[in-house]
Amino acid sequence: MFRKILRISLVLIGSLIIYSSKGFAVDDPFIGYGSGGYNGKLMIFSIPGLESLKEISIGVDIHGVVSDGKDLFVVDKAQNILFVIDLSKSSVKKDIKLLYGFGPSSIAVSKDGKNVYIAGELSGKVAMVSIDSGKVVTVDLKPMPSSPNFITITPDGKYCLVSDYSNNRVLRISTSPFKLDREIKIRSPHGIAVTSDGKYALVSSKFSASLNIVDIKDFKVEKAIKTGAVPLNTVIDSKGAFAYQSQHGSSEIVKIDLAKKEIVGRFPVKYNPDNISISPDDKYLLSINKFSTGIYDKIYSNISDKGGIVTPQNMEVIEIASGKTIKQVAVSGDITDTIILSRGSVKDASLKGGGQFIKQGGKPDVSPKEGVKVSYMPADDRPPGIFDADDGAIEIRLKALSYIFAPNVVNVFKGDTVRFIITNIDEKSLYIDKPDVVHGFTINGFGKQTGVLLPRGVSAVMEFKADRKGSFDFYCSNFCGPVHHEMRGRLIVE
Amino acid sequence: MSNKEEKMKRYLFYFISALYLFGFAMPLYAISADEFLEVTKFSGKAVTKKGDPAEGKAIYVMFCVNCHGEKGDGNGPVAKVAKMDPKPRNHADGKYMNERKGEDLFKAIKLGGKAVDKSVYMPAFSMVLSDEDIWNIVAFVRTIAIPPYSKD
Repeated sequence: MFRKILRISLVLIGSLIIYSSKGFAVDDPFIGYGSGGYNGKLMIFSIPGLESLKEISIGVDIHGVVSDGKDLFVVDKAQNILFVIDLSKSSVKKDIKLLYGFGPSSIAVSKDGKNVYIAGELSGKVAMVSIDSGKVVTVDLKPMPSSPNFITITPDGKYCLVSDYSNNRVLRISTSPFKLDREIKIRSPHGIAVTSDGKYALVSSKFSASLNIVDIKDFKVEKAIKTGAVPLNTVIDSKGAFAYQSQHGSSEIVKIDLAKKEIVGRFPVKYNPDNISISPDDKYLLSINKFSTGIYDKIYSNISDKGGIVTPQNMEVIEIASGKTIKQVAVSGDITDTIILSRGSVKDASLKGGGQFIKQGGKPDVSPKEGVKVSYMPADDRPPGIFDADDGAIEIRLKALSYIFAPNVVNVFKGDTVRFIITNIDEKSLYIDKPDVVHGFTINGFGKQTGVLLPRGVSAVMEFKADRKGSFDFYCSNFCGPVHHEMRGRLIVE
Repeated sequence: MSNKEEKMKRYLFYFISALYLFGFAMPLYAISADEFLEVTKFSGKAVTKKGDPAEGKAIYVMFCVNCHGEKGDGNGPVAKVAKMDPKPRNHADGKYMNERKGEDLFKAIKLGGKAVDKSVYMPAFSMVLSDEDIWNIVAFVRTIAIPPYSKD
């Protein structure tokens, strides 16, 4: 009898030890990093198990995680800051201020980690930043508007390739001297991946539903392959044998044989992927799915007591050999970019499993506010425009719909108390038919932290003092559909 | 339980599973590349010298139809729900549209409704679209007018 009790207790204690150390997460061979968009965080998780290991609060709207093997680099699209994160400690070790109004959306790093190249989507500029000195050099794209929204670098470090959706072109920018070198017409370009031999760039054309194979040296399209509806991002495996492209509209990842230049597989994902990444051993694909309709509907409580339902986005891991989904979890924020590293190369002992991405019944995780008052009211059905409110504030009734803000140019005077009342008037997201479409609203570079989510059924009310003169671009800060990046406007303070 | 009963139960299970699958999968069904290209495809004929209506249609479909509608008749899905007043312009109305100069249409798209004393709902597309693409939109809009546009 006594032995029996002892045996049971030993088993219990053993399981407790295993449980509390979360041994299973630590066993995962890879670590994923995601820039969390509007939650302002860098998110660290295990691959393939998708256990949250750590979240680091960094800023307001975090984009573009890349690595040189020693550090991670991310940008804050709202605050125009480049952050350098020490991989061995998973903490910010340096931040470099970018230009006023720069609006960074994507970054690339040289192999030696000395220079970072940044696409300034909102300003039409591309920047080269020296990490040691913090010096920022820019190329101003012409004509305006130019919208460099994606950037990558060739393996030899000689060129940056940049997509510009406003002018339907991909640019080749030499790194030394740092200047525009060539351009090529590609309709509505988005993500770009470069083959490891540096010969080809694979460019997604959103509205042509294609993957364009561009010869980098001659800088011309060698072949366009019809792949899926609204292709966004592409990754290439370590051997350069296969490429994988996310199809936002057709909710799948398409596998392309690069030697044959043809499609050899399709992996359905749920739903509407944007960013994808691949594990260093080419075994797993990570898909960031922008809609979870019908899967994770009831995780969040309403955004306010007036209502407002937000369905979280999700991450999905696909085992490439079988094509099967082996793990899927709801995540907070709007994960804009991801990277997967080997656990051995990270060496941060503080990364432990057991964390939760989202707490059941919690509210959506939006980066903290500074200098603004935010509340929600029942959906405002008054017409849009700029009005003088009874209390002396300038009231801007803004409508958000797929994929515009109305009005999208707003003039106020310095010293005004500005009250935005922003209403999502969509029935559903255009072309991807999702009724749970949630827009976001963030003002770039205003010195105030302004990120809000705009679910249907409520209006976000955001109030602040316009204490700086200038022109400040606002944009949709929650991925809402095929033309999410283009959903922009401007606040002019005179 | 008899064999027959078991069979019936199995079929019922299949039937319910199928219903469940279709019921959930259908509304969430994703569009294919071909379906997407069909929506953006231009099959008319250019009626203006300036701008490419095929390029214009791809942009129109993405930026304009939520208000102006797939047929350009001003009955987009959001227009009704938001009770837009005035209603979004009916671009198929040749009587009105054909009298408007190309430059005026260009200006309305580029600078937005407020700048040309029209609806505040119409945003200024100069934020994200190049002049070339705005002319492409004008070229497309000209092709859907009834009676047809023929002034160029």
